Amino acid sequence: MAEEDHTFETADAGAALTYPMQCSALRKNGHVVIKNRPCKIVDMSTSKTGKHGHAKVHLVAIDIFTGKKLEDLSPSTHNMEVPNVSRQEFQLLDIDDGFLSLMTSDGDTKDDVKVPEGELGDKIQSEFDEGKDLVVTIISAMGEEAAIAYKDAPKA
Amino acid sequence: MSGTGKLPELASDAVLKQSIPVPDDFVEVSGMDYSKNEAYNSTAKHLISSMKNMGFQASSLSQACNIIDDMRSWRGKHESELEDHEKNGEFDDEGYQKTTIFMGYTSNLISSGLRDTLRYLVQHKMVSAIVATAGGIEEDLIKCLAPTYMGDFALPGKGLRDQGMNRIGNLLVPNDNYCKFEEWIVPILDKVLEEQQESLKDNGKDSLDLESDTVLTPSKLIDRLGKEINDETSVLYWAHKNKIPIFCPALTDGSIGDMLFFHTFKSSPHALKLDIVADIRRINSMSMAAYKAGMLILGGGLIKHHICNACLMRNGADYAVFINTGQEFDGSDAGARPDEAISWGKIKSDAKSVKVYADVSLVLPLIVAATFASEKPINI
Repeated sequence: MAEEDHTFETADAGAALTYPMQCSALRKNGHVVIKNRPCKIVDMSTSKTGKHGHAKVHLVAIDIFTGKKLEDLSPSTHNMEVPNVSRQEFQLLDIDDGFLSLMTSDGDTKDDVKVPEGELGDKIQSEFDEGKDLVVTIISAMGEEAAIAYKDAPKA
Repeated sequence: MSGTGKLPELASDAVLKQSIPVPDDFVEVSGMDYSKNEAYNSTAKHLISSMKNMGFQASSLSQACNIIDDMRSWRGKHESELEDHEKNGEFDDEGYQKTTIFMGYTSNLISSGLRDTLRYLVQHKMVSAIVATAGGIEEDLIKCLAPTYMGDFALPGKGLRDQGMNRIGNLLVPNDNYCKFEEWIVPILDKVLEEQQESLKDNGKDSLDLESDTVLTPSKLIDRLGKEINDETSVLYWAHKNKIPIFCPALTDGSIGDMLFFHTFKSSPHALKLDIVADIRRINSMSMAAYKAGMLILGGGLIKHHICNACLMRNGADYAVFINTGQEFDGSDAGARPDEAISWGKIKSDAKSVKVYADVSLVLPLIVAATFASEKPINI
């Protein structure tokens, strides 16, 4: 289970991971695919049709997994892909060899999400070690998953 | 007044200064007498020659035509008399040395109907190399995709902006023309980038060598665009066919630059590279190899100086015709007379040179009719 699963790279699986949207319909804080990476749009500007040709949309976006800044500039009538991004909360059961062991709402376990690097990962580790009950938010898009936040589990 | 009937000495000294005897070489001012039979339905050549002693810009115009005739008709040695290493310049069809003619023009001339005149010169190999600005490249291509229209100098900018019309003097270009241009050029840029990446893979670090073709120069990209447009109304098409290089060191200063800019987002992390150093080597080498160098410079700015600077490499051009409306009092090169270029060594001190102060669109048709097109080319 902990092995990385690459089935999402097959041709037909990709269709469900993203959907097309006309560039002019994209909005700030929404999502977009740039250079095959799922991103959140942090800034966008448009230039009208002119000497440079068709109207253009300039997008500045942040890769939702790596935090890397990406830019794109596309004719406003062209379609761009928008990733299906989902967020789910899971009860944290264990931390094992760098992977989070999570419990799904069905009661199954999910062991394929890594402990995030940096401060967030350190905090999850230390608070888990203190014996706290934690709920971790997992974001998933285009076949990739990552823990992006955590909180104390609601008291039963 | 003293009432003696004689002018006071002071006044007669000031007003009635005695002329020196007129020197023998003085030429009488004269013009065209339209009442004479030969004046009716006059040819351009005849009209221009009758303007020779008219004065002002008419005389300069006539002089410009004479210089153009001189640069076109000069012939040197036959190739058979030359050593191999001396055979770098231009030869006529019979193998005699001839003048290398550098023609420069600004973008507005291609926007105007002068494009057809300029195309004629390129189509019939009447010039050896061209220097243009970015608009001089792209407007030629765009005209193959959609027309430029007659407008008016007085059309207000705000209204035109709202209507998606761009004004060039009294001409209008719809935004849609540039959209068509974008649709045409982007796939070509994609292809050129792909070829560049391939060549980079094949040649590795040799790709940046002087003789490498991996990185295109502006003149080579322009040649490619001329090949791709494949349209006989185009200057670029004929320049490609006749292997006449078109230099454009400021190729990014126009719509093509916008396209190249947008393309970097599309191509990222790869990027199309253009090499201006290889082009300066190419134009300067042409100038140094020329047996005689002639300049025909239509307009000012970059196109004027780039040709003059290339001719500096050969210790100056042998013939120079400038046509522009620039003034010299601000020290700009655009307004500088040929004499300023002589001081830099860009024109030889004994060269034949003239500046015609005129709108090129007004005088070039007449000049070409009286010189380049005074006889039907054999290759038509």
